[in-house]
Amino acid sequence: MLDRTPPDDGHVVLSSITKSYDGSTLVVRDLNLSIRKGEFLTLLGPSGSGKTTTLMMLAGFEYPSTGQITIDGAPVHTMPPEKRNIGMVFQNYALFPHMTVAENVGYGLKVRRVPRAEIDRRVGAVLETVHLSALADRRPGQLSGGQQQRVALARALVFEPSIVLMDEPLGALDKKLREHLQFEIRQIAQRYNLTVVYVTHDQYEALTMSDRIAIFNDGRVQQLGSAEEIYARPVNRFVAEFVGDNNCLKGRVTAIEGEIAHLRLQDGTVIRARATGHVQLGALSTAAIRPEALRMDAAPFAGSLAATVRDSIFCGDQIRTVVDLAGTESLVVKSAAHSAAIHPEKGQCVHVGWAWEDAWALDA
Amino acid sequence: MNLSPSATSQTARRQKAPLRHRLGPVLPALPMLAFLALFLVVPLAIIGKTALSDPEVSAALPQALAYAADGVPDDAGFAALVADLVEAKKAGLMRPLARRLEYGVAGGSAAVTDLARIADAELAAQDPAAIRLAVTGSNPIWSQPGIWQAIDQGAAPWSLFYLKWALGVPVKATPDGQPASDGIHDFGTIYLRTIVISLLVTGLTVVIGYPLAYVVATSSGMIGKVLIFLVLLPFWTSLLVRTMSWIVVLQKNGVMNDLLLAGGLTAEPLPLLYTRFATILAMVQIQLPFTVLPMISVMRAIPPSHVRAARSMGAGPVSAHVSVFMPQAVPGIAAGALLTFVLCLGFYLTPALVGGPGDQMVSFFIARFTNEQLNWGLASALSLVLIAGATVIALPLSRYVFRHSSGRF
Ligand SMILES: Nc1ncnc2c1ncn2[C@@H]1O[C@H](COP(=O)(O)OP(=O)(O)OP(=O)(O)O)[C@@H](O)[C@H]1O
Ligand SMILES: [Mg+2]
Repeated sequence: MLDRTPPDDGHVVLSSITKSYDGSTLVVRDLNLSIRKGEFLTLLGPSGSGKTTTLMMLAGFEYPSTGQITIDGAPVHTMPPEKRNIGMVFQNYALFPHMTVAENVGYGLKVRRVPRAEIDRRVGAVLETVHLSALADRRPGQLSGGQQQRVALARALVFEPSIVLMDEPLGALDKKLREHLQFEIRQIAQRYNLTVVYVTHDQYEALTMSDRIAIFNDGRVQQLGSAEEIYARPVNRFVAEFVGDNNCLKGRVTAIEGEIAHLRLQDGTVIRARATGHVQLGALSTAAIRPEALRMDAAPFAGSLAATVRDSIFCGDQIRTVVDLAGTESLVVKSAAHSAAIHPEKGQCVHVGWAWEDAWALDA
Repeated sequence: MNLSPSATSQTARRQKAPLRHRLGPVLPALPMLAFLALFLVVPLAIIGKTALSDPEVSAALPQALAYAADGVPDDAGFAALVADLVEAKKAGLMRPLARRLEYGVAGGSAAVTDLARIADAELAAQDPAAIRLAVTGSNPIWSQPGIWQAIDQGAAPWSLFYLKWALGVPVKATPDGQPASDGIHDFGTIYLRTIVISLLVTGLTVVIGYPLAYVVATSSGMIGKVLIFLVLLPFWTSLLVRTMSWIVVLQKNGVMNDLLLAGGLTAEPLPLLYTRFATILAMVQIQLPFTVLPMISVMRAIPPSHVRAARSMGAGPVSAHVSVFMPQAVPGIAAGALLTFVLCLGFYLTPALVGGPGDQMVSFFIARFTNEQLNWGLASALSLVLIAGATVIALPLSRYVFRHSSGRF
């Protein structure tokens, strides 16, 4: 993927935001986020990590307990939602059941007292964009899930906000439709040069759509970066485990040679990994290795570990092999199905290894 | 109508299903249906019958009837009248006849009793001209057309007499046959008053109840729970107790007057009790839960994200509420208002205890004609008109409520 990220212009800035609903537990802690004009930023994280809360503070439905939010330098965190000019797509779409599709979409213009003819024109144009012109007079109850989603999108776009927030907009749709709409949303965002803050549970959605991803956990941004960065260079164990598959091996750091950390696993085996800021001599560390970075062979090779095949699963384009190491640990190896690599049998003894650059020694 | 093939075959199949199967789903409701039949349908039928039956005149005066169609009859008519009365006296039909004729003509009751005193076999045996003289001599009313009209009115054992009376049509005449202006009750006004009071109470409960229901439905914390508790609290005491407590509050040296006096808002105690104000105040308090509860349940089902969506699109809080929340709450408002309105139409105890003479509603008169005046025909007719009126008003509204409560997706 090309790096489409625009330069940091501080379009929307959240600085030192904390949020607590009950006054004691912090749902968002010390959040600092600078969103660039025209970028597609995804908030990705487990349930309860504070994504919706962050979005609600941006939209104006919740107010930060401390900290401030600025748009183009102007503080907005005490402004009511209707003054912020931010479009929003809700998870369950929140379409108004008593209005037709056209009335739903035109609502934002009507409350702005746009003349009738102008409303009709703009509603028609935006319905065209989301391919719903034929359904303008239906009620939301008479639409499929995907069509409802498009109405919600049209409604958030019609008053031409520069910022659009989307809270798991595709969560309720099936996979095929979701992929199709991901593409459409992405295209519309580019066409209108929208700044999109997008919340999702689905990491593949995040990886394919976003310019940048903010990984949330426990009310904090764990890592902020492009999809490639997050996937290839996780900054901590949470990110490594949360995004994609990763093998995690826990061990004590016995030596650090420049960029290479030596970890002694529980059974005494010593492995090599790329040292990060988390690594301290004598402390525990977790080495994260992508399944596709592992090499498996029948014969031992430099730095390889002996293992026994527990299971081998054919997944169409690839084979996933689970191998048990000498100790309690096990690894998942991904290999291309058509490759010349061995197709191991259950119980077979194999050797697995990796280049040290591909393993990341992170926090324990 | 153009049915698709599958629809036709479906109907056909449904028609073929044995009766046993079609009744199956209804079986659990049978006890309730039996109860309804016994305690709603049967009494209604009896009320209908009582309102339409008018047997006294035709039972007591079978022969005289034939002469009554054209006002004061000739001598033969009077002879028939006396002959009838002699029989009626034996059969004990005098009292009902006297009461029934009094409904139709002023002085009818006295005319019957006066005549009964002289009517015997001896008089009946005299020649018609002498009979006529004796009859008109007993009470001069008999020589005037009014009473004969009243007899003609009751010619059939079934009539619309009581229904007309209940609808405010003047049914009583003066002895000389003119419509009597001293109509005891103007039922048209009473129905109008009943509807006006019911509408006022309904309107007030909606206006007071809407914000209350909104707060209860949308607040998650303690406030909502406390408010719903307060709304339900009146249900724990009887209607009578609640009405009596209004007497305590509103009487001359009651709580309200004490407060007004203490606040310097009035120099001397206001007459609050036995007024329209007291009636409406008490009725609003009693009806509030009925209006509020359906509103709450409908409002709870409105997702908070709808108003948020409206706000995010640029609507202020009030505008978002009015254009997005309120339309979705309408089925609840309609259901609550309908319930309260229909219940109000039948209010009896509260206006009777805290209202003045001019605040009594239809039910008060139904009770009065049933218990005091023993005019069951009129009481039944009044009930029938009330039921019919309530149905006419409630049916379209309840269909609206039904359609909209099941039509949400
Ligand atoms: N209105 C509220 N009152 C109190 N607590 C809340 C409220 N909304 C959210 N929370 C709490 O704040 C935390 C974060 O919630 P939030 O909705 O931001 O999570 P999320 O990341 O969007 O999760 P999900 O992916 O499940 O939607 C949760 O522990 C939640 O219980
Ligand atoms: Mg959420």
